[in-house]
Amino acid sequence: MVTGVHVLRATQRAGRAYQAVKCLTNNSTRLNTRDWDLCHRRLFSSSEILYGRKYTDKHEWVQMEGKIGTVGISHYAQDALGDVVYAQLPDVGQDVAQKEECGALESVKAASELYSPVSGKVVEKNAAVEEKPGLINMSCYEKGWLFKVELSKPEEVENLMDEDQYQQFLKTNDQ
Amino acid sequence: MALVMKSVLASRFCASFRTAVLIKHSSSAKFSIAAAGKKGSHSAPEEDIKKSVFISQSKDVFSNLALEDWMYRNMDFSKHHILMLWQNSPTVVIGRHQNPWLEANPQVLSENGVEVARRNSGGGTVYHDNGNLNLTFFTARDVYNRRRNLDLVTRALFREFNLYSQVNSREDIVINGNKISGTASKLGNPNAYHHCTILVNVDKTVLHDALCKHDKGITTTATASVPSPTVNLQEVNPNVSVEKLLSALGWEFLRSSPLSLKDGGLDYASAQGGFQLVNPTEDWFPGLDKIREEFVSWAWRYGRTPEFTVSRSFPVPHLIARESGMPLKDVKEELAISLKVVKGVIEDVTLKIPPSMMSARGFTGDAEVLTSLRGKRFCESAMEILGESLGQSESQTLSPEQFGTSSETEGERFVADCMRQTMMAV
Repeated sequence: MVTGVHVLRATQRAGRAYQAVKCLTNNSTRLNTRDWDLCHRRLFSSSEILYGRKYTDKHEWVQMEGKIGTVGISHYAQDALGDVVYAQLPDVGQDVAQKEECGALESVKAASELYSPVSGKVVEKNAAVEEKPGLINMSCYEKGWLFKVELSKPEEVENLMDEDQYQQFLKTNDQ
Repeated sequence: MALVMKSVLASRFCASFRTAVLIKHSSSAKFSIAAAGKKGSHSAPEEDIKKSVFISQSKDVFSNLALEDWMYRNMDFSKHHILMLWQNSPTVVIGRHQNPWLEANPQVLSENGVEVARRNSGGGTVYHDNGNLNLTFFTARDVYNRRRNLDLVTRALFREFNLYSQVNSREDIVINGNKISGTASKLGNPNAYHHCTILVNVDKTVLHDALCKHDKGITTTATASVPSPTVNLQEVNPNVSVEKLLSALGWEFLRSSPLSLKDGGLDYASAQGGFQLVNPTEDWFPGLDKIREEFVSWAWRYGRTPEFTVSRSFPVPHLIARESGMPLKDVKEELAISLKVVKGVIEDVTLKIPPSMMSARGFTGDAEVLTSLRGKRFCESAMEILGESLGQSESQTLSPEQFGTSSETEGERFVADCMRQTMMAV
């Protein structure tokens, strides 16, 4: 039973990696936005296997490197928001708590609260995103990261969703 | 407003609307924080959702914004959708991430007794007065839908006043291309709200003057307003009044199903929570005063302004340049001033002093006034400092012992005066 699940996951991953490669190699013509999005998603899905990105049910992600977690929002979230025109990020030195408001992203006249996926102290914020909030739409997993936290409760990460769980969560949420 | 509402309700719906109209006047706490929704809860199926209309009895913008925020933070909207109707005394309301100095004209505001408030939602700046009606639609986040609410408004305008209006791509409501309603929203968890304005007979002269844009030399990443031509509903149909509109919108909300907007008529409406007159006070909403205080505070209204820079240039007057010994015809130089404002406080002052001023006899270039501006609130506190320093240099000019260094005084006065003009223009 358990083995079965593992096998399935492995196949899914392999499938994604394959799709990503196909996406990159097969498109000699210009990719339309949708293809590009899909391509991105798949590419980053496979990178998650390498880096262990974890997700919340509010669509934030955190990626750990030692004690420092880098926080951003998921592709799904940036797509739902539309063009982000202003990013209000927590200040360096500020304490944030898991599931608590710590900033806001503004898009098409809506201010969406930003919830921290983990607790700790903010050690860096992405000045490039403050200057150019569109980075969140263009590159939500790389250039569009939001802030870095030195975790006070590293165990919190354990309870977040991994890539597969998050994709499953998105599917059930859509229905 | 309470009396007007009562009479409207009584005359129109007395017979058909039996028990649903709840008008509460008691001043005991009506809404307790204990009723707050569970975090992460999902909206109930459509048939289980009740609807109520809250009408705020206050015209104080800070109390109304506090009420809106209180409801957003504390109430459970998973089985209960609420439309809050409210009005404010003359106020300029800026979006959450906007710059009040850029969006409003402080001089016009103080002359007309207009307040400046910052709201919690995104979007651009609007002007409110008694000719304007505000609507806030509260729902759970998962069923938040701005378009649905706006469709409800256009339907009410058609049903009651025979007005054809459209929702445009910016989700403003327009009649013949002119805006009658501006929209913004706040999305959180588990709750969300969408609010909009409706212009009935707003004083358009004040609206225009208060929001009129001129070049203030401000550079910022703050959310920009998109100015649009506006029209009052009364200009299109003289029969519209705020009271009638309030009633029409309230009924349209109650008779429409919460998610699919199916028209259930008066039978459906009478099964809902009806109209409730609410007072945004601490008695009714425990904890409201604290939220209101925050909305009134300088830290929220001005301190929350995204970082910005004000830059201006001023031609150096001949009187000062003459001292430099340069031929007058060559003097076309400018003094450039740049103020960096972070969290509403002046963080940095940069002066670009042209050679003609630098070489002027005695002018050292480090006007003391610059250092004293750092760390001061933009721009009232900073203006006071400048006022003092200008006064000082004036007395210096007059004193005989300072006579020999008149160009130094002139130079510093010029710098201080330019600084004052830079801030005055904002």
